[in-house]
Amino acid sequence: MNAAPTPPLPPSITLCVPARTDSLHLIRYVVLHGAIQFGFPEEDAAKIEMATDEACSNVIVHGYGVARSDRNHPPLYIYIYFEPDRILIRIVDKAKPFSPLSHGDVQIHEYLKQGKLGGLGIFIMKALVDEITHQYSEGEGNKLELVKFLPGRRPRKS
Amino acid sequence: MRRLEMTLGQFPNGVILMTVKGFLDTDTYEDLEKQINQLYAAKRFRVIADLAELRYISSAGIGVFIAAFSEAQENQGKLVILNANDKVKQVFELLELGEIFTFTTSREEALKAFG
Repeated sequence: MNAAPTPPLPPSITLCVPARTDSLHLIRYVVLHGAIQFGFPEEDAAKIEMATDEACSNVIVHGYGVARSDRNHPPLYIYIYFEPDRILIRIVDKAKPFSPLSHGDVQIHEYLKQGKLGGLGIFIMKALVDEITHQYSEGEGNKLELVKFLPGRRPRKS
Repeated sequence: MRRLEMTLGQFPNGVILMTVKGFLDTDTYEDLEKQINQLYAAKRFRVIADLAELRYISSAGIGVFIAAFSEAQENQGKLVILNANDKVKQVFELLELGEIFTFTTSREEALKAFG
């Protein structure tokens, strides 16, 4: 007996938006609805939405250092790939090298005692997706990838 | 399009009701920060934040609430959260703030938190 045909994967999505904070709403909308349409439950889709938001916010605010009132807005590229078991979000920018992975894990209560407020976004990003990788090269800039597996499809660690 | 809206009210006992609607993120958090700073500058440190219609909060928004919470406490006041939806509350919980902030589901309960 032949196996049921696998439905085709949705085509990937490419967004090129100005690296400004008012682009975040559009980025979140596309990521959230893309993930839901792909098959993620709403709760998981919201996690992917938020991790992407935090990653892009870091690029805009810390990478490019763009203030809300700035008129200059370099491009920020967001690629959304729908793969058989997972969604992959690739965020590419030409800002200075910045890897969220180089920041240690935040101890929230210690953090609050010290009155520090930065770094929460990186903590959130790491907590909400299954895999994060970062690469930087002179020519291509920063390439941050966020991966989340569909429920029950995450490979077991050997 | 305004993505974050705030309105202010006041209970007879002087507690401020601050309603926050929309999307609280890196783009909008400064608006909330400004609103809270204005309240605190007027020595109004007893605040209920009604988040029933807050649809999204990022770390930038959480940061504003953390700072506001601490400053209210330092001034013998309090910041109480009212009607946060599950999506918003989950972000507080993810950051282990669920037991630090007071979450309430009615105005009566929120007012009681002020004693």
